[in-house]
Amino acid sequence: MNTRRAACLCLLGLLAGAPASASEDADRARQALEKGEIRPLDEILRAAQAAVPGDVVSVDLKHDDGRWRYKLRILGADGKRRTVKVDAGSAKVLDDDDDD
Amino acid sequence: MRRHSLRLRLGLAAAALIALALVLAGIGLTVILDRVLDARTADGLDRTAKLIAGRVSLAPDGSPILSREPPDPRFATPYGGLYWQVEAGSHILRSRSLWDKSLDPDKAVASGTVDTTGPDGGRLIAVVQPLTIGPGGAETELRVIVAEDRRNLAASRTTFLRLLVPALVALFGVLTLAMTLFVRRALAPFRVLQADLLAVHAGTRTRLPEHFPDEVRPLVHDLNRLLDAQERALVRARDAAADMAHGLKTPLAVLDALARRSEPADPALSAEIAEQARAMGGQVERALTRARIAASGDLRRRSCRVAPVAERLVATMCRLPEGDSLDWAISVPETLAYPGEEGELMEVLGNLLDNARKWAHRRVRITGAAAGDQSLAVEDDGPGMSPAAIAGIGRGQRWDETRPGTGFGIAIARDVAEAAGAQLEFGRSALGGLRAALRWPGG
Repeated sequence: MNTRRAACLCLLGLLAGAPASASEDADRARQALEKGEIRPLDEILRAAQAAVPGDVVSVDLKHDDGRWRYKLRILGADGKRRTVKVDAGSAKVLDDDDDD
Repeated sequence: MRRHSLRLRLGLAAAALIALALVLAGIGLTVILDRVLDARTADGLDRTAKLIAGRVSLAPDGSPILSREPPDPRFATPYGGLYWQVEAGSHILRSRSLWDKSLDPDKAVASGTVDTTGPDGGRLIAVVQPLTIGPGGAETELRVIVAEDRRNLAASRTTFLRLLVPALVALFGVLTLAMTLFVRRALAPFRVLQADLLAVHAGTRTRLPEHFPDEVRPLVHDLNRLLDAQERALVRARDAAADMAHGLKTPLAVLDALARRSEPADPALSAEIAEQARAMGGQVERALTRARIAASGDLRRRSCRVAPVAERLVATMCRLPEGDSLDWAISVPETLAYPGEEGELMEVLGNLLDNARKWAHRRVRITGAAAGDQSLAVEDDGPGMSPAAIAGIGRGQRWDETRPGTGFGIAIARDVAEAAGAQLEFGRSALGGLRAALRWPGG
């Protein structure tokens, strides 16, 4: 489990290393976390993977209606990609549909 | 080192085994490295495949689109060595690096690592990631393939081998040196035994010391028993020889007395009896000496220094009739050693000096040479001998009946010298008389 977590974090590192816009959403996330508006990402990932097992392949943080929401894409062992929405403030899984 | 050296053979065997072990280790390490490189590369490709899987979506026409391409610049360089491809049925999205070609791994492999051919014909290691996206009921099966040229791996392998081979060679050197020292240490008792045996041969030691390891001690013990047995046999033979000499002395003296008593009555018969008694005495002495010398031809090669013996003998000769009037010259190196016991040398040199004393007019010269083959010569300025007479000495023949006691002495000297490995030769001296030379191998 630990190695898988490490792999996930590496993958996230890759994601963060991408273009400037990616850094911008990372900056937004850091500021929100510092203000106490959202939970740290590892809690979010733990909650999402508990609901949908697999590798997190995409992380997206959105702010609408005054709430922070994480939209995660999780690739299952069967190759199926699922989208999991998590409330960033409470780390509660809101919705895990098949895909968008 | 000689061909039959145990040390050489053990050392070579150890070196061969070490070499074999290191070659196997090298092969093993290379195989392990290949596995590790493959696993590491596959892991990296797998992450890229998952990155693509997270970003891929479908256009309304069903073709896959990627919101952002993976960042590695090799994906953007034509034939860059790193490739990706997303297949959605007949729609295929490719990295720029594939340029005018496609990836076409074995269709049977639905998931995992596989080898395939690259755009420029090189071998690729590829990771195939199946992917299903879309809402329930309208799912689309996709395949993400990410591949890397194996030549990138080969570079790492070459670097590794460039470090591994010198490391193994150095290890071979260290291990072989260690084994050589080990073998040397293990065979040390035999070197000590060899030195001790040499000491026994040289006569500086009568027995071998018993402080050997358990593996060698039985051999040493047996050798010591052999040495002891020889020593006892030697003592017995000497005792027997002495007994016999003493036993014959009295009858010969009686015979001599009888001869003298009958001299007035029959001088010719008396002289003949005296002569025969003397001949018997000579023969007995010679036979006894031979027996004694034979018994002492044992494992031990004794040696003694010549110079002191020569001086002592000359001192004795000066006290004998005709001896004090002669001029004795001794020129023997201090280092010259005779390959026999002191008693034997006394016997040989004593006989030669006594012979010279009887024949010399004024001078006797004793010279020795210690370089190379060693020699010791006794020369006099007497009448010398004819070649025929010299040839007769070997047979114990007397060559002059006018001087009593000659002939047998020389023959005994020759027997004793030959038993010790020395040659006794006769020739003409520069002084004018006989030159008797002892010669024996050096070292």
